[in-house]
Amino acid sequence: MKSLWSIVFFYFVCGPVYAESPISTPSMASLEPLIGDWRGETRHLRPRNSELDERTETLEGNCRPILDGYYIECITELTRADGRTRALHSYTNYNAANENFEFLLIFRGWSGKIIYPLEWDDENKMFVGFHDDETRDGTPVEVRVEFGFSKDGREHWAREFNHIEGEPGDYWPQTFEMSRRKQ
Amino acid sequence: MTSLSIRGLVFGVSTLTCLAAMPGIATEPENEKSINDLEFLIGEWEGQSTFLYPRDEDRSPAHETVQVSCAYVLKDSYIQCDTAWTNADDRTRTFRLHFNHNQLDEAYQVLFIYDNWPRHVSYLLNYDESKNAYIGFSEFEDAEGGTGEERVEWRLSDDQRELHSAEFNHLETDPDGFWANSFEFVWRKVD
Repeated sequence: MKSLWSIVFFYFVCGPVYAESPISTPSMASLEPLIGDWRGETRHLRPRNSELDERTETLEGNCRPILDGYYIECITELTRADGRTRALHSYTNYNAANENFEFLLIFRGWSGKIIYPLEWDDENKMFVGFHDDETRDGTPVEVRVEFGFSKDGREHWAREFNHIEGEPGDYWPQTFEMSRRKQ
Repeated sequence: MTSLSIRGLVFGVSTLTCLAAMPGIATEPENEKSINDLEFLIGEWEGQSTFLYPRDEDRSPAHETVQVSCAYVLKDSYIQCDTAWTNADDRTRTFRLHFNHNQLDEAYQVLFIYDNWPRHVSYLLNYDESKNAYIGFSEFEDAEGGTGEERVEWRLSDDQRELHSAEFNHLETDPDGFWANSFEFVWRKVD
């Protein structure tokens, strides 16, 4: 971590840092399948309330490198069956100082943002991340996010699972899934 | 690649779930403030920046020229500014700013992502009428683990065609009340 804090110190106190070149590290290369135009679907599952219907959305978006390839930006619009839409921008990068990928999400309709580290699970060939959340009544929730690609890189899938404080430790029901295909 | 022991590495913000269970089907702000208050940002800007070295008297200030392009994104709920900062050696750093109105904190918020630095910076901006400026605070740590605070002031000219920003920092080791001016820039609207 010291290297990161050195950068922090350098940036704030010592002055600017200029990138040597557009980044094309092997680490970022593993995210290259993200780049392109996508269409797909999402399903919001209701594992704790069987009386609620699953909600589905269609999805359209595109992903491209920005900031000299340091980030891949994905712009996504999701549409419910009733026509209502939500829009997301996500930014994925490799943080060389922390030696992990990071995922940043901002979206219309909510003021906050989500930032969490991602790790590559080589055994299962997918990216995995955890972040904290809370229920509407303030109970802490842990969220596990998984995503990966088909072997040809033309399909992208993501799943989310969560665990609410107080539940049995191994209870991590799936709450969301997304699949999309490159156009 | 490293293992999955990642929970301890969470450094950021997380209060709701990801692509999934968002209540985020668009709802319009009901309070008076909104991102539209920052509409003056929209457009093209050019300017200069100056790095000051208040703790190193032997070091001369460093200058950059700046080009900025700002536009609404996310269905007009954010303003995104792409910026390029070029120094005297013709080296350029680029970073992106996202402005929004944070309804939870009832303040404007700015988020920075960079091509030259792996960390995100985000802080709230509040308009201080007495200073006629938007004021923000953030924290950082130095190489030895000491902490510092940064104060940022964004000030807009009356005709809204010139934006001045100044950054001041206070290290843990500084005397109380010592806020060194470390960086400033001015952007001018391009017709």
